[in-house]
Parts: sequence; C-alpha cells; structure tokens
Amino acid sequence: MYNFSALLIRPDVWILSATSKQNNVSSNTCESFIIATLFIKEVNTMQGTHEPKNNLILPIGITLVVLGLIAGGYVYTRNTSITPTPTPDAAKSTQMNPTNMMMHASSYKDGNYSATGSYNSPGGTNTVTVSLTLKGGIVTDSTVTGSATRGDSSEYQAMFIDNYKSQVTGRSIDSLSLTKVSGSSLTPQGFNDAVEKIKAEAKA
Amino acid sequence: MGMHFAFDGIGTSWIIDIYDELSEISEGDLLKKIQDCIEVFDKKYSRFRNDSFIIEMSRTPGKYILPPDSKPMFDLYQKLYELSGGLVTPLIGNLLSDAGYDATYSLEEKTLLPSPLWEDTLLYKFPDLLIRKPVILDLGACGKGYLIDIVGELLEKEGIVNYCIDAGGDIRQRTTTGTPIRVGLEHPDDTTQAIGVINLQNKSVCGSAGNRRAWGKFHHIMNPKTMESEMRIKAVWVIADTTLLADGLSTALFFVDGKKLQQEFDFEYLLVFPDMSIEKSENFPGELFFS
Repeated sequence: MYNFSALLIRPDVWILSATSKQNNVSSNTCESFIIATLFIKEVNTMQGTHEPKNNLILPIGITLVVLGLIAGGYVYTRNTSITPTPTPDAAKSTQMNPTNMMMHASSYKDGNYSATGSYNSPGGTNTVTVSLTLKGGIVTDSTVTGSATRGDSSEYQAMFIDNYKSQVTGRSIDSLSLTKVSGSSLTPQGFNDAVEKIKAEAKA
Repeated sequence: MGMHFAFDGIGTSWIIDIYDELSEISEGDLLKKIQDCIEVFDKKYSRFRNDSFIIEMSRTPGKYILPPDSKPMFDLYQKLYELSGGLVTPLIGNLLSDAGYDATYSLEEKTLLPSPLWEDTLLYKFPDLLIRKPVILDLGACGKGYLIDIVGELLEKEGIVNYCIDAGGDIRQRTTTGTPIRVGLEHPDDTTQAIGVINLQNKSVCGSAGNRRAWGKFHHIMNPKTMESEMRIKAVWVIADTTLLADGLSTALFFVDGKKLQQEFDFEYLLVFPDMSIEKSENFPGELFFS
C-alpha cells in the first residue's frame, strides 16, 4: 500500500512520510505526503534525565504506534477527502512488540520512559504518548495514551490502544475442562529438594 | 477399555493414556517395555548419571561412534546451531553444570565460562563424532521430545494407534477416531491457571519456560555466550508433527525469530513476554484468554 520513510531533522524531531504505491480506494490517487511529525520529549528516568541522542528505541516505538494508526485507516490526503474504512486487523498486525525494541533497550537504565508524537488527521492534530518501563534492559510494561477525545480520531486511537498489546491473562484450569496441560517440565523430587534446601539455608 | 500409566523417568513425570485394547501383550509387559526403552535412552544420553555414554565421551577427547538413533537429534542440533548463530548448542553442559544445574542438583554457582564453539570442538559426520576437547554435551533442548517420539513409535509397533504421551507437559497425541484433546497452556506465573487452550490432534506440543527449573538468578535456558539465563521471553509453546521438533524449536525460539525458523521448519508457535503480551504464528490453533 504505502512506502514509509523517516527523516531525522534533529535528534528529537522526526518526519514520517509515505508514498502510495498503488491505488485501492476509489479512483483518486494519493501522492507523497507527510503523515506525522514526531517530537521526542526528553525522557525522565527514576535516576534523572537521559537524552535519547542516538537511540532508536523511542522513535521506533512512536513510529510503530503511528503506523498502526495509519494502517487502521486514518490517513490525511492532499487531493481528496477519502475516508477509508477502518481495518482493525491491520492495526493489530503492527503490534508493538517488546522484542522489536530490545535492540537498544539495554543501554537504558532501569526506569520509566516516555515520548510523544503528533500527527495530522482530517480532524486536526493529534498526539500519542508511549510510556515504557525498562528493567534490566527488558520492556516489562508499556502503555499508550491518545489525545483524541471525539470522532474518528478517538475511535481509531482507542482501537489501537486496546489491541496493540494483546496481553493474555489466566483462567482457572479447573474451570476449563481440559484433557491435558502443557507448560515447562515438571521437576524431579531431587531438584525440588535442592531448591528447598537452598531456601532453608538462605533463611538461617 | 484403555489404560493409564503414570511413572517417573528422565527427571520428570510421565503419563501415558492408551485408548486401544491390547491384543498381543499384557499391560504389565507393555509398561516394562516402555520403562526399559526410557532407561536405555537415559543411559546413552543423560549428563546426570556417571555411567552414561555422554559422560564417558566428556572425559576423553577422541573419535566416537554414535548410537544409530542419535542421528535425528544431532542433525537437528546442527541445524539449530547454525540458525541461532551458536546460541542453541549441545556444548552447553559445562555452563549449565557450573551455574548449578549439575548432576547432583547442587544449584551452586561456580566460575562460569562461555560454551566452546562447535567448529572448534566437534567434527560430526554421522555416525562419527570427533570430540577435540573435554566437554559435557547436553541434549536437553530436544532429548525429551525425541524420547517421547521413540516411546510413541514403540506403542505403534504394538498396534496402538490411539494414545497420548505426556512427559512433564510435553505431549504427543495420536488418534484414528478424529478426537482432539483439549490442552491448556499453563500460566507461567500460576500453575493453577491457563492462558489459553489448544485442540491437539495427531500433533505434538512442547512448552518451555523458566519458571520451574530456576535457582538463584538462573533458569535452565541459558545463553552460551552471555552466560545468563534468557529473560526476554517468559514462555514458549510449539506445535509440530514430531515432539523432537516441537521440543527443539521451543528452545530455539528463545534465541531466534519465529518467522525465520518458519522458513526452515513446519510448525506453529506462541511466545509470551514478561508483560504478558504475545506473539504467535499466523495459524496457531488456540484460543487465548485476553485481558
């Protein structure tokens, strides 16, 4: 559908642009356009501030969020006022996946990081804020909040926020009528005894 | 109709359900055959006993003739070693032992060294294995899965075609009646809960996580280069045609991208991350419970 590219103006300002490769909505053609300008805020950690000069983790995170919104059908065109139908599955497929951001996470100290990006829509300018919790170089939690409070913007942002993480939760095994349960291998008594022994020694 | 065997073997709990009538062999004799088969495998491939072939090889470098049934395991290891850039390796026995997961389960950490490289240590051309330096091989990434397949084939040789083998949560199921089994995916933090259910029919499923075999700062899935346990992924499940493959891939997925592995192997997978978000293959056949 579109080719996306990101242009770094300054370390904290990125411009995302898109060029359409083919036309699949009525007979109008979309040309290249700027779809978002990202302003990366200074981030606050538990230990102080850390400027994201050369790290890509937050721009990548924001880019994925914005792309997710775009894929959800929210695109501003110069030539026409097309409103493509929303495709929630496309929004889901641009999942913000902790492993995508793993590459540079280990250079950050433990703490909370956030960044805000803004983008233009037919309804006006909107922002999204992504917050990540890093512990030991691993993203242990993430949240996305959007500024849109009404209309299509609000709907698309809500769809993305609800689906981007796809967190699973547990249900009691007794309630599920299962034949079997699969998980990590049950340990032998020797191993369990060793663990208990160490716990006892630690307390002594 | 049908029988149910429950016993311990190779360091975990086995449950074998057989849904066919036995014609040629008694229940007691079948159970003995199964347990003998497991013992023979353990004596060849376990690093947890002094009298095993693996431990014999670890003491003295040299050229060894591998047992005939080892080929599928070593071939898979060779492929996974290559695909993972050396992160899935049979040469990790010393590291696991030194971290504490040794034959006596001392769980005491000693000085750790990165695992040696395959190209420096082994020359593998089945059935020959040339071992250049003393090294404890660990076949835990796929050994249990492979043994489950071997036991399955033993049952099939006895004419049993409807059965389910469950060895500590790694499962191989065969049915001719088209009856799938409902398998819960155990919540890695709470073993009384499941995060989803899959229907398994004529497939194998293996689950891997760092929750059970854990001690100190380690669990048993270790990175041979960083010498740390992998914490980026909380749990993995793989569904494949053989338990050998499902088991091997459930370890590989801690180190290699699922889509890259899917170019080489036919399987479905589910990853669960520390924040309980997931990644799954397109056709993963399960119902997952979302918050």
